[in-house]
Amino acid sequence: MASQAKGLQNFISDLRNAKSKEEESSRVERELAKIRRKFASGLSSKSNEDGSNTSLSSYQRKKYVWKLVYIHVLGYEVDFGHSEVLTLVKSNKFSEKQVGYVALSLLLRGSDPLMNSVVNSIRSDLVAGGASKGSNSVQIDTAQSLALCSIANISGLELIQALHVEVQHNLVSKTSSPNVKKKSALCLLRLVRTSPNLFAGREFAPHIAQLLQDRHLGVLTSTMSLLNGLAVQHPTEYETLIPYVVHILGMLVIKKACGKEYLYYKTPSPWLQIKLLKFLQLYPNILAEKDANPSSKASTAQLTQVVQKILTETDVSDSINKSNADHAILFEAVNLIVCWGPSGPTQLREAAMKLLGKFISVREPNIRYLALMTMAKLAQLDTGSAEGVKKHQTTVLVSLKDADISVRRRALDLLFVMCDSDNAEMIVDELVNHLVLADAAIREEMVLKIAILAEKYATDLRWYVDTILKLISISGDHVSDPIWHRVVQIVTNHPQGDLQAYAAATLLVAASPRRCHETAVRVAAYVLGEFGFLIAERPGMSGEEQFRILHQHWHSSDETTRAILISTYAKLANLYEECRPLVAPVFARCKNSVDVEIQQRSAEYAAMREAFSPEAVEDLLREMPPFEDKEQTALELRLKDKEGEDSATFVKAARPSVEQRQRAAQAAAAAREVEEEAQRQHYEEEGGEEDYDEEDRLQDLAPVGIPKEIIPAMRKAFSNLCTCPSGVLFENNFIQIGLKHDYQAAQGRITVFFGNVTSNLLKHVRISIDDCDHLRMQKQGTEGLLDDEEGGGCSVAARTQAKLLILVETLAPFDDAPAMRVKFETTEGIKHEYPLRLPIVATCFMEPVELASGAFMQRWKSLEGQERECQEIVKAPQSAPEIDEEYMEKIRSIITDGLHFGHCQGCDPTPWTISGAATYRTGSKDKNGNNINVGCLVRVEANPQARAFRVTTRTLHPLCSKAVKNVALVSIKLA
Amino acid sequence: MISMILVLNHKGDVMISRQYRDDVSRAAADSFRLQVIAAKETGTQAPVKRIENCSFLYTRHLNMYFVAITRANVNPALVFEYLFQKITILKAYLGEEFDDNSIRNNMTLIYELMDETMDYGYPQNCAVDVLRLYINLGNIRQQDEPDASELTSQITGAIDWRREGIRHKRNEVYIDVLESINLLMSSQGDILRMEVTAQVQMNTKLTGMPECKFGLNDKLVIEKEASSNRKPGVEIDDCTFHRCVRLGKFDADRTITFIPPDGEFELMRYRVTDNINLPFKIIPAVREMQDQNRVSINLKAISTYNTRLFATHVVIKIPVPKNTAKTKIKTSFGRAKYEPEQSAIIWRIKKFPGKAECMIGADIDLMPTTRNKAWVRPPINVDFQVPMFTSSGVNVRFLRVYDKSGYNTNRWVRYITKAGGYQIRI
Repeated sequence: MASQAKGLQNFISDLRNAKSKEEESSRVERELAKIRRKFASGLSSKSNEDGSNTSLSSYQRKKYVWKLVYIHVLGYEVDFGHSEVLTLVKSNKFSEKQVGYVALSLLLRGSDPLMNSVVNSIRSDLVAGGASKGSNSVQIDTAQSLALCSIANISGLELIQALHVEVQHNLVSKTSSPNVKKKSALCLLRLVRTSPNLFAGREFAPHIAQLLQDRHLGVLTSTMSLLNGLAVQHPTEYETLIPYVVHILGMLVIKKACGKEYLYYKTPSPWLQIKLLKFLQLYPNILAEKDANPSSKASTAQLTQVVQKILTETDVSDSINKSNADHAILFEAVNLIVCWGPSGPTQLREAAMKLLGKFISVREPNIRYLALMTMAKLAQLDTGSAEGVKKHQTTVLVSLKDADISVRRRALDLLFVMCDSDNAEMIVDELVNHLVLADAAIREEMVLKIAILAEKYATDLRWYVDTILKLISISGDHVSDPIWHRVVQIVTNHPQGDLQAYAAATLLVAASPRRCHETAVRVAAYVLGEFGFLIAERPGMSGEEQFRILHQHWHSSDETTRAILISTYAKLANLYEECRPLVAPVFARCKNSVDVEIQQRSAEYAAMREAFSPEAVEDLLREMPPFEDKEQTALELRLKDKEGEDSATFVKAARPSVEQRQRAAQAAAAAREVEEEAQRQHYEEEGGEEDYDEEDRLQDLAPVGIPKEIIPAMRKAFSNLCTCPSGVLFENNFIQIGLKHDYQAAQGRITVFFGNVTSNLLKHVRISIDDCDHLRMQKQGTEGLLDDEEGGGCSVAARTQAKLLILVETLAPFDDAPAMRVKFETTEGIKHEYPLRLPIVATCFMEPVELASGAFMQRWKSLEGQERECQEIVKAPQSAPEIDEEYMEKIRSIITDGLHFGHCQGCDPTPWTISGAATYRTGSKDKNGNNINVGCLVRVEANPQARAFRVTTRTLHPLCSKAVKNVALVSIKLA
Repeated sequence: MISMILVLNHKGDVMISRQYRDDVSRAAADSFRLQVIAAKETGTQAPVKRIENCSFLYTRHLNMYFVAITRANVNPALVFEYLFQKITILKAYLGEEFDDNSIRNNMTLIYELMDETMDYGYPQNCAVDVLRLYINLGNIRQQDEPDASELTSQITGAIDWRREGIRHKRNEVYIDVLESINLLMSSQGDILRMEVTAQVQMNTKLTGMPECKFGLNDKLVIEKEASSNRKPGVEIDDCTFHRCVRLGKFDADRTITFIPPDGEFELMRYRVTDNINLPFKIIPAVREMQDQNRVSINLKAISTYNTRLFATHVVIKIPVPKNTAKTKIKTSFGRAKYEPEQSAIIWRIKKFPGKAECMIGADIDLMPTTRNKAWVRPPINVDFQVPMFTSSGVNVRFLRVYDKSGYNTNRWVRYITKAGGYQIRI
């Protein structure tokens, strides 16, 4: 091509030599103008029907289109010349077709309006193969391939719709050459990626099965790419193909049946093998299925055999290419084993572990890296494999000193994962020793991981405190705030034993030297402030001494540290008389500090003694209460930030260790008894109140005429209907009252059905509904139904219904439901009268609002106050299961679907909280003529231990708060 | 303030570098070379680039880049003014067309100038006239070495722009009134914006320390003089002066008095917005044909100034759509050509007589495009120069020169009106 087009070469070299952007773009503009002129010169007289210029020679046309392509590639907009491109595509000569298709796939986008004309010419090339398979089959093949490539490149929606059938046909057709099949498979993969639901997997799977029986390895490789693409989207639909895949794998691995051209350094088609293994990884449970039929059993047996073979046959070889290919397959196989997890055969896992152990000590860093990474995954599996890993501990420790930092990272990960109670002390010590030499780039990560490990596996918390102190002294800059905060938490939360005294003494010693890291000063300051009194009796550790040691760092520390120091001084001064004269001048000086925090603290502490009684001061400066144990510690969150949720290390970190559980149990046991007692009392009080409330409501609903025993069912029905669009409101032997209601902003449409369930006529059926101020109602019903006179009303024949339609508009917030009185007479002449309530409650008129967490919290805070807030605690029903994620999900759906609140994602700090927001729409107008709306916020907090929920509502209107709270309570109770 | 000044050649090699503060390293030149010059960014992007907390402000003279580097939040106008002054000074010392060779040959001189014009990143005295008193290398030759004490009092004195004891054989003053007219007209012919900004340039060659008094036909002054036989003056909206003008006096009675610097300087700038005479009327007619593939443009240009005058370098730039394939142009006068770089038809007329009418007609064939996009119709741009014509009507009434020796002075006045942004929407 280069020799063909001198002009093109000149043009390109002109652009390359351009000194500035302006020069380049002006050259491009000139060239574009020239091409336009050339293309247009026959526009009026001698042009084809599609607008291309016939007077151009083939050479010129190609040259100009190449130039357009080059200009496009440089980033300039080219939006003409498509007709010339089409002419080239339609041409019979290969060289022209090639240019045409290249230009087509680059210049056109899927959304362009002239796709129609393109589609036809592409289609004719696509189907050419089926029509005539003669002497020029090679040419047809290339044409088909070019067409497929450009379809894949353009892949507009319209194009996909128009041509995917042909592409599929090409793929499946027996007449297509292997080359075309390969291209079709890849093209189809591209199309499926853009529009995933192109065809049903179930129908397509047999076609793929047929393709998988092809003998051509190239076709197989492409088909596997397609299959992987498809199966990732819908794994279940392609499960039937597993035996075929296993078969191919068996052919390649065991029989080594492979054409010469697909042998890569004596390895049979490694790419295909990897794709096959990747596909199998989508089905982690195939080995676990017990009820498999014989054929699939055979295939699983073969599969294990294959994997076994891969594991045993791979070795480090001299040829770098050979070993790369082999190892790629091997690692994929190990991934498969990891994927199977505990359901896979144990000997495979052991073999894999052994092999990896060998690899982590080889010279080649790439293999070492992969081996370490895979080993971390393998070690993550629960059963037994951890034992295997431990054998390699020393090797891994050596890798920690590797020259390559990425290998060091992996080694660190692996160490982190393989750490357990037995070897924790050793690993942590080793890591701490290594930290001294470690590169700055990896230090922060190391510190974080050491801190987590030390906390997880500390049998003696004193060791934990020592370790962190060591970390601070070695690499204080990398000890982030969460780490030392955690130390403080742990020390505070474990009053048993002498941990607190030990920590205080150790930290005092650590802070003694003139120069020590700022973080150490902070921890020391805090811990001494809290627990300094435990060691004050010891020699050289009196309160005064403590103050002196801390205060020597005053001048070298920053604002945050000083703030902590000030609090500590206040506590010291409170405990030890002799410290007061020492502390007073510090406070006096700090009252004028630039930093507001320091200024405020010192001023308040200084004034405290005069302002309050000694008891109050004592109370204020008492040690802090134990911290709340969070689900995920800040450290783990940090790890998650860094490595992503599914990394092996994070999974590991999130799982509490035996030691942690023990510790938690110990700590909790002590605290719980006291707490639970208090809570029980609290709930009993609350519960009593609750019962009283219900009694109240009960009396409302239970009049004469309704038998006592159906009241609970009735109440339940009423509550259900508050949150459901339709249901039964009341039912007994005579009548069934059903109800359907839907709401649109401030307006609602309620249909009530009165069904006669007796076999006789019901006479004088009459309904009366009390009018209320806050609702405007329009009623319309079966004739006579709304009469209020005695003896009037309509008759409802056996097994038929009377109907009442109510249109309602809310005018103001309210917290009760409108009353409805149903009266009728049986044929025996017995009069019935049921006072009922219609389930029209405030939440019916809610419109969900989506709020970001920031906005939610802001509004939540702005709505504080007695009037606007309603809070109540409700116990989960006795029959309900444990409060877990699933249960919370149910509560969430109550809030969103039942109460019509929008769930505010992201503002819930824990999974035990659900927040929602909505607008209460009314039909009344304010003075500007706008509808009055009331913003409502709700928050449900669960206490899984106490099996209780706390419902808090905050709205602008007190009645609204109450109403929402009531509905929420009742719905939760029924959940 | 400015931390470093660099002079680079077109490849980005450092020719001159002077560090005023040590908060940037010389490696900065490399990042400028890589990210601005090598990226072919010059000319298309803003001349201020921020790389790693360093601001690079640059300008170009021929193919050399003058770059100021700073870490501080400087006033960019000040930095650019300094760079422009620097180039003016170098022009005075090395000749108008100085190039990399002359820079290389006058290294010491340039470093001396660098030291003299800036101190610790703050610009100092940049007046060539004063600089040449004590830096005399290159083209500038000093006849007699001034006394050191004289020099000090000169630089620190009240009139630092002129030194005593200047002698000229012939005492002459040249005054150039350069007006540039800005116009934006809508497609209906309504005037959206119209103003004249002008500057009065002077070149004085006067002996001693003369006191000058300068007068324009400013409306306020004319009304004060209240002589009935005069034409009404021009209303000048706002004006700024060279620092040699005594502002107190101007504020008191609007007379412009000053002791001028020797040589060229800009005496004042002013702006006029009322009663402006447009030198050209442009009447365009643009039609886009129904089938979207043709555009026809007809345009008439009429000159309104006196028949004795003529405009030079008239360039009318008529925009055409981007996908123009072929153009057929007919003009009654001058030469017109389609220039794809500007995507416009450029019509050039060397000499445009007064009270004349010229026509141009163009038929344009468009190329059909893949994606239909409407033509944005940018405005027509006109460029011209009309000598001896002021569109604001300003003229110089007098310039009086008083000196102790009482010599005679020759005065030469010249007027030119140029197009600033002269645009007509279509």
